[in-house]
Amino acid sequence: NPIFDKKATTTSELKITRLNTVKGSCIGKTEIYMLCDKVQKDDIEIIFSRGSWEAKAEFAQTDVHRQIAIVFKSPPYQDLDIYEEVEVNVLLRRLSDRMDSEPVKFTYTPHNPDPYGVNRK
Amino acid sequence: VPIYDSKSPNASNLKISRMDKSCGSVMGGDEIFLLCDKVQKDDIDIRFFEEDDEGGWEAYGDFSPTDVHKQYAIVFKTPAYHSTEIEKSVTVFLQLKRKKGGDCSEPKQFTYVPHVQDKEEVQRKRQK
Repeated sequence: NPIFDKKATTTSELKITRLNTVKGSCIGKTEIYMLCDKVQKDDIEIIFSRGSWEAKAEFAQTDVHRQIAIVFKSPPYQDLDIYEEVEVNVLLRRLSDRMDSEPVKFTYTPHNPDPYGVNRK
Repeated sequence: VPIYDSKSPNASNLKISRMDKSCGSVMGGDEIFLLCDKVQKDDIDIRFFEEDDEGGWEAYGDFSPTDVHKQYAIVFKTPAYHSTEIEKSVTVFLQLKRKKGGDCSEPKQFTYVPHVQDKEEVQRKRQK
């Protein structure tokens, strides 16, 4: 019989516990702290998705803290000209077995470099 | 001969690795994510302090044991500064401190910024 190690980070369930920020600009680069169940720093991705769109969050292995937290930057949304907020999914994905965690929600807000409409006048 | 267990959380050093914010309102209540070395969820405090000739000030971050994530992260709320009437930002320190024994981490800086008054309040003061 195979021995199944529930604590092995290569096969255990992936889980996002908490994000410090659940909203950010559609141009990305929002710094986010994620608390999660144990992950391997060289075998994990953070995926933002909506429908068929997917993008990877940006972080280095040194941004994975003791296997239970990741500090990363949000990727830009597929459309930088949104006029309303867009809700997307964020999930952990293990590279080795393509296992995904349950998603949590993140909201992209419109990017408005000219909030007072000065350039339009 | 005492047996010294270097892997016990009580024997290891306390260390703050990273915080998602290093400033907040003088009123307190700002939520902070703090990443740290191993802590025991029921034996850790986050101590804010200021040292001066008159004895200084201290206050504690607000969190429950369930806000300690897997021994390596703490989500807490900042305490209010002793005076909420500051006009300029004030920089204080915070550190991890064990309840038992009182061991402390190296301190990190935290800056309290003045409370933003609403527009009416500002106008009222200007008219004086």
